[in-house]
Amino acid sequence: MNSTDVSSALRHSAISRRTFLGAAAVATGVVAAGLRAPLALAAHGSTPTVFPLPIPGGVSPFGIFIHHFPPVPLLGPGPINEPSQITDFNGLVGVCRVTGSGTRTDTSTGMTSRLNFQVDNGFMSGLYVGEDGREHHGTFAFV
Amino acid sequence: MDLFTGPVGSGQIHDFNPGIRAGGLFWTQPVSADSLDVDLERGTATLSEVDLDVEDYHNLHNALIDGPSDPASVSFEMRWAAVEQEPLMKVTDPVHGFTGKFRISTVEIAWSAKVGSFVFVSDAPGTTVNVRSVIGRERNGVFFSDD
Repeated sequence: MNSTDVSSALRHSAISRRTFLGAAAVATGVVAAGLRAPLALAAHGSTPTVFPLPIPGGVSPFGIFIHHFPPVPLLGPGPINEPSQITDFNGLVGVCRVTGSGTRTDTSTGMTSRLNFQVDNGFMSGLYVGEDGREHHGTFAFV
Repeated sequence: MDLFTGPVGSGQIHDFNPGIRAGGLFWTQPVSADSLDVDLERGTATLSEVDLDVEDYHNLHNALIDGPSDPASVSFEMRWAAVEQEPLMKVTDPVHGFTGKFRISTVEIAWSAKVGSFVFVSDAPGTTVNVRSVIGRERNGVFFSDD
């Protein structure tokens, strides 16, 4: 995302870029209030109470099968790996792999150190068949 | 959400995730619909969570075998923005059983984590390095063949 994209997104949410950037400096939580525009999916209610089922496919890091495809590399035949972590699903998805850096603080001593991060996160929001075999609407974070 | 003392992939000391459900559901946590804002027409999405309960498995292998972990929490705000130069991808993958329309995106993230006496805070979102991100609409499983 370049600065133009960010500015555009922030105009849409009617907040300043400074609010977004400043959020990273808040050690106890990075999410600033009031960032979000109205969400149509919110009409479907709050946190789901029935879990979805995993996608049947996946990969085997360390020889351990997991129901997950990493954002990269591509595993074909399509141009992307499956973004969703859940099956029997019809809805909105997002997935990412990003990297960066930050600061870890030991609050008992005040000592700090620099660390690097990789984040593979995402979301799924929409219609799904739950573990109970019934259809539900819900939003899930892949963390 | 992984933290390394060296370059990414080297010296991992934290691995924050909600765990793998018994049925295999991978690192997926129900969240409030209010935590997500998607506008596919504009190609944007924002996912935000505050103090989401997770476990710190410290490294990937330990996480995958559900080894010892410490209770932790993460907070984040991440913003997807479709890359305007990238075309809409209509994908149907019969091998893996999913179909949908997707756009290559960039993502910026601001996040923090707390475990024990340690607190991690990421640098400014503008410093995020995007490796691979997509946003879109997908159908799979019993909905794969729906029109």
